[in-house]
Amino acid sequence: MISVLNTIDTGHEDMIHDAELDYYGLRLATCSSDNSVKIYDIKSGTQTLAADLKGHFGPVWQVAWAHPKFGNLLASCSYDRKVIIWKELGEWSKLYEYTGHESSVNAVAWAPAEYGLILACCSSDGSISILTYNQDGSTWDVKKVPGAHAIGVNSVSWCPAISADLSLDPLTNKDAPKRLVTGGCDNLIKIWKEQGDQWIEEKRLDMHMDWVRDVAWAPSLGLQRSMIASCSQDKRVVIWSSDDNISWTPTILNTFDDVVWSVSWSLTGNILAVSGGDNKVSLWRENADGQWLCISEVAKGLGQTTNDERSTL
Amino acid sequence: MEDIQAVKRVKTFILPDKCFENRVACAWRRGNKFSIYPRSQIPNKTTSESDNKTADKILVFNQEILLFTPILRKLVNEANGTFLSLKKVTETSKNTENQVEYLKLSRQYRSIIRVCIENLQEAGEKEEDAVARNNLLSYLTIFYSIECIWHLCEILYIDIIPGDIVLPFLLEWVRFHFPHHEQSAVQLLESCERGSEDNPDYWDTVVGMVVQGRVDVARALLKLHSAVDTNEFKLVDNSLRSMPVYSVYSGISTGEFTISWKHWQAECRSKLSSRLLAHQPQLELIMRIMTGDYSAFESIRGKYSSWFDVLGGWVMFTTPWARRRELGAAAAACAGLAVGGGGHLDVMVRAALEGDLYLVIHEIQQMADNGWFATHLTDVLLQCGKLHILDKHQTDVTSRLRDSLVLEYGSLLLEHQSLWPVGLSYLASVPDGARRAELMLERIPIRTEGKALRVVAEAKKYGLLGVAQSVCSCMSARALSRGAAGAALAWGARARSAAQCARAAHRALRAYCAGGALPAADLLLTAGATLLVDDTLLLLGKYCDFHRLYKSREFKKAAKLLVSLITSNIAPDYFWATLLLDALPLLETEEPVLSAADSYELMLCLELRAACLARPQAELLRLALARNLARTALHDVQHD
Amino acid sequence: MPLNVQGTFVSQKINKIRWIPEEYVETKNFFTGSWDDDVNSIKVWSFESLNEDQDVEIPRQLSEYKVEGDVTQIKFTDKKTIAASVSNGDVKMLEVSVYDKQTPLREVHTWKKLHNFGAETCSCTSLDTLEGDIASIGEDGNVNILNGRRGDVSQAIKGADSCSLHSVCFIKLNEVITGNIRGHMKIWDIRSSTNKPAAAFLLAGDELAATCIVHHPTQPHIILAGSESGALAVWDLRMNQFPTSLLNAHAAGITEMQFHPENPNKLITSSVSGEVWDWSMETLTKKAQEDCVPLEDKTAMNVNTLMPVLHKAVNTLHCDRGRILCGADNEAVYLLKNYKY
Repeated sequence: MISVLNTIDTGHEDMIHDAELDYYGLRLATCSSDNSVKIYDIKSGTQTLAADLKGHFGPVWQVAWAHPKFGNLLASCSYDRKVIIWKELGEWSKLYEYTGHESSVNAVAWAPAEYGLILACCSSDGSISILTYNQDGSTWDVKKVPGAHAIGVNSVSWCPAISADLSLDPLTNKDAPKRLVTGGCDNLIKIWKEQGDQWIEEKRLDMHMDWVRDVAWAPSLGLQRSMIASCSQDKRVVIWSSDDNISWTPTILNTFDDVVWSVSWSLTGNILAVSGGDNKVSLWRENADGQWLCISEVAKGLGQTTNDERSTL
Repeated sequence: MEDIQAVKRVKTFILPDKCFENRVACAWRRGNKFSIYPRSQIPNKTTSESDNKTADKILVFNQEILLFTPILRKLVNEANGTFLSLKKVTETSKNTENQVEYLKLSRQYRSIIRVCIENLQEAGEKEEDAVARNNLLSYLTIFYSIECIWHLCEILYIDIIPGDIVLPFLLEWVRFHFPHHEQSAVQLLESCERGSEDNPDYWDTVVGMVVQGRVDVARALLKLHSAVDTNEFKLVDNSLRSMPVYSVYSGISTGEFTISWKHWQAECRSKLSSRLLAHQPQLELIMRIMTGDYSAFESIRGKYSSWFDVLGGWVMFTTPWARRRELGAAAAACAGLAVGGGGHLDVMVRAALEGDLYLVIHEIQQMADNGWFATHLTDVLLQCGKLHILDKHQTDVTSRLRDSLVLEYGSLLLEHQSLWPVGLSYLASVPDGARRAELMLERIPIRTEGKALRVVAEAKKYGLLGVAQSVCSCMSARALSRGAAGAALAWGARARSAAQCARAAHRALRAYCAGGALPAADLLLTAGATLLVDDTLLLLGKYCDFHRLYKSREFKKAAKLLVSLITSNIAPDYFWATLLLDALPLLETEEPVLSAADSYELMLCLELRAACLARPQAELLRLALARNLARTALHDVQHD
Repeated sequence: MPLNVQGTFVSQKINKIRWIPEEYVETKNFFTGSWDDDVNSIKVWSFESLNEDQDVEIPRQLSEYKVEGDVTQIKFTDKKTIAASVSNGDVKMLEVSVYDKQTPLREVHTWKKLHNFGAETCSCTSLDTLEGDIASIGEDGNVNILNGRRGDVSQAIKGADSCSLHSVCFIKLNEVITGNIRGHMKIWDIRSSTNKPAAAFLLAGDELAATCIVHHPTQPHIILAGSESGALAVWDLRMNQFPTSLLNAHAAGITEMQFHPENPNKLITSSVSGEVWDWSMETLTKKAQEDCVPLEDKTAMNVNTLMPVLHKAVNTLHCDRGRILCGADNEAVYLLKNYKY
């Protein structure tokens, strides 16, 4: 039976755009149209506001936690065209500010920790930026991919460091090329690959009929198979799967009643959460026959009526 | 959902708060935990909420896990021991006959369930809160069913049955799980009163004993009837007494037995048709049961809670020679006695008797025990080689099914604060478990080094070296953010991570440059080969040794070390000033300790790195070097 | 009678277990301290016989004292009082009633956040007691000497170690030995005002933690340390620096060691690898007196397995004559009866 463990009153003065839990699930970062980023400590049953980060001058779209082996780092991106990387050293403070985009920065994502401290950012100016931390000089190297998607890039997600390159042993292929996937306003999904010191477009996936809102590369379970979930304003969610990261096969997970805003995989990649304009979060899982089934959903409603049935979730 | 039929397993959770009316999204935590927050996609400043504080809330969801209640945690832990023992048995002897061992372990599982049931009963009796007591009772119902099905599966698939004649085992199963009639029989026999038929339960008990095959008890009960001396009673007693019972060890073949048994039943039938018992309808009923008369069983079915209560009796009086795989028809006949029925237990028992283990497991999965039962039973059956499940393409998916059950069960436990090592041991026993274990183990919240050491030890036990390294790296980063250079270096070295060690070493060197003491001297002076992990760490270690030598007034050795540190060129830019200036006091000693050659080397380095030093400092050093060169020109330093 | 092992599942991982001594009779009561759960506690238990079967004794919980963190160590300061260290940095002295063990434990003294990283919590990893004094250690690398009678801190060695300390033992009234996460052992003279150890040496070259330290009951100059690697080191303090023996013992970290109170030639050890062993120490201590005997295999020793190997760590043990208590990570406690010592 699912139940609400605790409720956090965010205290944001405007709408929330993103909430992310840290590596251990002990802290929650939120960001809002009130230009702020907040961090809450959530232990069982209690929650406290640990930090209120002010530094953006526009709605903050997304936040992302870095791997804790780099210390406590949080990246945020905003309508004010900036990306800020925050660091906790006793107190939270600004570690680095990136101002290389000419329009709203829509999403940020940290690369798998195996590659080091690398952040991907994407913007309405149509470009992607890759920021890499250089340990010796304590500096950030910037690589920009202009014109990645016409009109704008909405979402970015990294390929896990351990993934489905058939030519490589899946458990040791740390030298496998870095890859990421982006979704944009040109209705396309693109897969990018690092080659030398360049990021090149490796593949474009054309299926959606309207803006692609979110893309999410599934965590690898050591299987010789990669999966990407994408969602779009065309109300569809598509699961792309591949054995070699080169040829991709789409499966339409479902066509919803309204625009689908976001897709996210559970930690072990066995459940996909889909949320959209129909004000529902539905949880999907693939059965043994490769069919996607909705196993649970969370929906708005009036009055408290929890379902008594024990869920298999 | 509109299409409620198509997706009938979807559970809907209704959000209570108003803030979710227009927008909602999900953020994942570890495992299957997640949070729901009101996610807004558009910066719409014109909504009614925008003028002041929002009432936005974030809900953290949690799945209540039955198995995590204290009583059931005992079951989880104990069963884990049995699971691992079973694994060991299969690993050590792959092809030899392990049936005895499997049976022992299956019984061990059953005794774990029994203990659990007893604990639940005890807790239920003590519990005062009605809701909590009801919960305990509902757990009890679940575990009674589990015990019943496990026992039946053990008989049908694991037990070693002489001659494969299943009847005695089936009767034992019926008696164990439906002890009601036996209890009243004991009461009646204990009070031992002639005329016991006045007891309202008398006849039901006698019939019950016959149906459960307790012929001796039934006969003893009949002796308590006041009319026991009549011919009718003698006749029935005689028939009961003379019933042939098959035993492998009696030396009679099944064929011979079948003939004598059929002969006995024919006699019973002839007694019935001779209407000798017409005046004793209860005795007549018993006789009809003995002849395997379906209508007789139909007439008593209402007195039993389930159809399999009479299964033993039905087999006994129709096909006592039945083998394990021949119970399907009997199951169908008995199930046909029921009017409605069709609960999980009914379906499971019937499927087990019909040999449809896939259906049994499927039904078990519907039970609210969080996978405990399905996982362990499937595992035992698979290891015994008794489970063969084909999918619709006729491919054998048995081990895939077992693996997926173990995977889910293990993942569930791995999320628990205390039971994580138990979960890990399950994940480690399936092929796809390692990567999942890695993802989850790395994210176990660690508050103390003691816990970190255990997580690392467990990770190494299963060869998850990436996790061990990641945990150590995170501990190092955490120590560093506290400013604890020693701990950061110790954990960095454990991680064998050059990057972490470098980070900690840089921090220590910078702190020293800023005027602090040189940290972690105790560690650096005993670190040995660990220093080789990273150049900056090596510098720090050697520099620390330089301090030690200097303090113990071993100036020559100190000087030699300093020169090697300077000339090796491994120092970061910010440290050059410190390193060069440390030469100053060594140039001013009474006896020269830096040779002419050393002085040349240092002069060269000074000129290359002059930018690191302020002008007056550089001048001072130049002068000191020149003076030292002068005094060593004739009498150079002799190194020992 | 043969050695008899009885396990009882208690739904808590047990980190420390201690018999509660009785004056004239064989005790039936014991303490447990749990770890690694949402709620941890120190509990008092009593063994009770099941009605007819005298042989089967089941522990029944008498009282529970909740603590905010893992119970990392329990040691007696006198027959009815224990000092307990907790992973939130606290040290507590608790008293069990002599007359009615069911009454809740009485808090005698509490040193709140004795070990800390400023505002952040820091684990108090272990402690040792001697004649009413308590020596506590923590991940902060500090050593505190507490006066159990007055309830104050009589001496603090700040920054005794740049790493975390994991084991501590009183050698004599004014001397303690500590072991850190790298197996660095240091001897401290409590009276000295400098923060410098009187002696320091390494457990082994593997840089693994010293998880526990004990001294020989009748020859206090002989010190034994257990390693995270499962090795057991023996020192004769009269000839410092190098262990006289370093035995490759358990397959994984040694969690606790105890010399049998009645027979100092018996050492009992438990390990992360789920083993409980007893050692005949005659050879070892004799050799220590002769000359340095390096790196020895445990096969040369007289080692017995006391209990079937558990699949999970055995964290703690405590013996009282022929009965040994063990606590383990499989959330069970074990009673070993008829142990020959």
